[in-house]
Amino acid sequence: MYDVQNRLRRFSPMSALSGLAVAAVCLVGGCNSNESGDHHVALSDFGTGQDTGVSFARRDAEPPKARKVTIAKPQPKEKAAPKTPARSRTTPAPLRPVAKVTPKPVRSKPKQPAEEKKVAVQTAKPAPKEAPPQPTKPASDTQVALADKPESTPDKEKKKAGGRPKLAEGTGGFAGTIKYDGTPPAPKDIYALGQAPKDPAVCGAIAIPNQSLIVNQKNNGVKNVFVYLRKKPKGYKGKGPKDSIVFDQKFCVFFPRNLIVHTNQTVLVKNEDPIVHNTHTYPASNPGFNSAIGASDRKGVPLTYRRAERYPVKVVCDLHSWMMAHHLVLDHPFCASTDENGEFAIAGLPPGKYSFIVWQETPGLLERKLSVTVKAGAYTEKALSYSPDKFAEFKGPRPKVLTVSTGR
Amino acid sequence: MKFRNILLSAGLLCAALTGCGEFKSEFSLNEKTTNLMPEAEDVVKEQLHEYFGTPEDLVGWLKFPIDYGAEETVTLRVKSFEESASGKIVLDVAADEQADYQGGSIKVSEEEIYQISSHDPSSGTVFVKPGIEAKLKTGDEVTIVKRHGGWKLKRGRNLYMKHCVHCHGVSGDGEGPTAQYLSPLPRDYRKGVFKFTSTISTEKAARRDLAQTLYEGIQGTSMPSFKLKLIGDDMEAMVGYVRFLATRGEFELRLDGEFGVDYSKDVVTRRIKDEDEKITRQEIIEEFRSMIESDLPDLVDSTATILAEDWERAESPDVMVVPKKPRPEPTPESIARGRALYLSKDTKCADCHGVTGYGDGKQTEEYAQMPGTTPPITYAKPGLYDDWGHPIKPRNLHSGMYRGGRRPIDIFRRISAGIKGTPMPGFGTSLNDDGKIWDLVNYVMSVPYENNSSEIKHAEKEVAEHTVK
Ligand code: HEC
Ligand code: HEC
Repeated sequence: MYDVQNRLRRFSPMSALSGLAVAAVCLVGGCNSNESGDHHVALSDFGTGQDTGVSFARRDAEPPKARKVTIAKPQPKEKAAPKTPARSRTTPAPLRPVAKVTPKPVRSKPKQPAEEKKVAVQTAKPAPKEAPPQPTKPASDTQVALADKPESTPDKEKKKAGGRPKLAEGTGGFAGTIKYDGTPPAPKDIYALGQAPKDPAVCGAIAIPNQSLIVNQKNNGVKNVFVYLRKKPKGYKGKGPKDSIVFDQKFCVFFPRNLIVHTNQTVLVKNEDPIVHNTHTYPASNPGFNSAIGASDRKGVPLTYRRAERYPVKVVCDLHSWMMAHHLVLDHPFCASTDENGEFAIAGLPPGKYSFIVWQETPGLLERKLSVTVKAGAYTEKALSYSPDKFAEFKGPRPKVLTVSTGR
Repeated sequence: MKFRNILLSAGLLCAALTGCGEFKSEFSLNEKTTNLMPEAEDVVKEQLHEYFGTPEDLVGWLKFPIDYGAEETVTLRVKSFEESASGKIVLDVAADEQADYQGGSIKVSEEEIYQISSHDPSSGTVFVKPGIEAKLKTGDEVTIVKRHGGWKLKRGRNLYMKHCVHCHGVSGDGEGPTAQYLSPLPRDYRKGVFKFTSTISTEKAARRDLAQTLYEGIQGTSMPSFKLKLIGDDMEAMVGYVRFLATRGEFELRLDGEFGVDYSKDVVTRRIKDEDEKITRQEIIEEFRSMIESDLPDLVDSTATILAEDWERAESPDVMVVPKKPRPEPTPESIARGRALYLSKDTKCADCHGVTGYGDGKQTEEYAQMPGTTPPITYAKPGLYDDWGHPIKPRNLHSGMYRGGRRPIDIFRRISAGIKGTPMPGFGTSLNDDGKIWDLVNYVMSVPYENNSSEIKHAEKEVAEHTVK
């Protein structure tokens, strides 16, 4: 005998009492259902054998034999069964027609990465100017850790002098810059040298840079902006790269801040620090990942995303709350993250009209649908620039999180 | 408030006078759905109704790996049939060992199906209402539908409404009326995330995990054990229904996520104000409609495929956490090794659980960020939070209560795979030697007895001296 009420936040002790009273009356009356509150009431009619229905979704293709789901004609209602809800049993609810949609195969095999024309997605990245100051402690190491990883050779070979990937026969590209339209904010540190609040012996070896918005002091270029196509172009059949990529952490900073990942590509999460970190991802379409990455783990823990994500996935370390990075997971290579000059170049696009998303971690969306027409044999150029309030303003989704105090 | 109470008293009166009236239970909508612009909210509602139905008229979507309960039939011959009393048929039940047809129906042909109103298993006599029109002869074959398709889901629903709804709520949102008096709060299934599982850290809960939770209850919380109430089919039916609710909830959340980006109330207001975009509300609605027209079937299908795949994978033996080594005896040495690991830089258990294991590590004083917020929003109060935004505490290891089960293997799994939906990470990846995890298990299980065991204390002191240098 339960008093069922969904709107619990508006529930008061008074009404709880009346609810109980109702329940009590029901008990006395020996009846099976009870009343409460304003909106939703569960019918305890359930379980009395009075059938309320189950039907099957139309979309289901012919169900497998074992699950024969012919629905018997509804039982004629008897006079003593008034509580059956509307959609049930006086007139036969027509069997939901079974549509001829064959369900898609459930398991998508990891793509066999036949080595395909590799499209370099990131423009050349010289060591960032806003790289954190050199640490005093393990000097040489820092340099190595925070400098960008060398490009893999195939990418390098395909680079033209200008740093942009060469366009393959019959394809075009989209390139440009993203600029901050105002006085560039000076680079800031989250924690000054030696001031990291946890594990200062390791995390304090450098000043922890604030990377939420990195603006080039000389040319106003904005670093770490993702430019990408939300869906792969129709007819695109490329396969993901075979090589795994590395996602690293050193001095309690993730590296790189922005990582582009292809679906089913293995990301090796490594750790150069002599302490454990945990890498915790918050994807929307993939299962979350929250694993400890052992101290000085140079082999790496594999992380893969099976499905493309619409927006970059936030990655954090719960043990060092300032650590943050983003993974952009796509099932195509038409994406880039801007370099320290705010430049990007996306190559290999079949000619046509596209709409790109431009995303920076602080405001979220900068462009929801940036239309770009691509012609064969050339890069379509766009110089994008946004005012400071665009970078401050929030435009993307912000989930509402309800904080319920559980008292203790 | 007053008004409500008057209503309630009226309900009370009505209940007293007329017995209980007709009340309908409903699946409530997620807050994220009601935050969408009305046109988008309607689409989500329609889809939910189409593929999941209402609590009273459930819809089973066969795409999902949920056991809805297949139709069960048996074909029998008619022994005798009196035309004068056409509601009575005597069947030859010798062929059927479990001749229980209560609640079933009798199928004379595809079109003619009659509800069995009562029957006598010993003689094989069956009464139907209304009477059978067809002329049956002795020796004719009839099909008895013993259970209608979907019976398991229905049974799960009935049991859920009886045992669980007052805590977990009709839609599994964890907001039943009792919930407000409970700490921790009952689980909200709608994220599709369950904390205590036997699967690796990236996978969902397997059926056996939900069954174990129902069987054992969750120690140290109000979640009771249903060992004595849910037996056989009932347990399976219950697990199926929890999965059904979780799938339904997650389906809704995913549609909300998909639409919310461009069409939540807030975003729409902002888009209209945005000078660069130059768009009116009407245009946004049209944009939404045309998107729905072209994309909805695909979107619904791929969303369901994702859920079906994820739930299916959870059952695979490949994703189950199985120790590669047997548990070593909890010798003082093993416990001491566990203690050392617990304090070490390789695990940092102590950051959360505290050096002494009272659940008061440094992390409980730091400010955490809400997941998925850009830019990050920090919770107003320090401490740890789970994915539902509820404040949680690292377990006090001295209590000796383990929510996910107290067998050593349960604790092994908690440490190896982490606790899903919480900041506690899986350590199977960093301690790639199962022996180390077992040492941790031995240590954790020794903590409640620490004070009476001088041997352990000694070992502990040694380790402490060793690590603090
Ligand atoms: C008295 C209230 C109460 C009742 C009745 C109750 N539960 Fe729970 N249930 C809880 C609480 C509280 C939790 C959360 C415990 C925690 O967070 O550690 C929970 C958690 C759960 C979980 C999540 C376990 C996990 O691994 O995350 C499941 C599944 C569950 N309950 C199913 C059921 C089912 C099915 C029933 C009915 C047969 C039921 N509960 C009845 C209070 C209740
Ligand atoms: C980031 C913080 C964090 C770290 C690191 C951490 N835990 Fe936890 N742990 C938690 C939280 C939070 C809970 C409670 C989760 C809940 O029930 O909601 C918990 C729960 C537990 C439980 C109780 C499980 C149960 O079934 O009730 C055990 C045992 C445990 N942790 C052991 C460990 C061990 C051993 C380590 C180190 C190898 C560790 N934890 C590291 C946060 C942490």
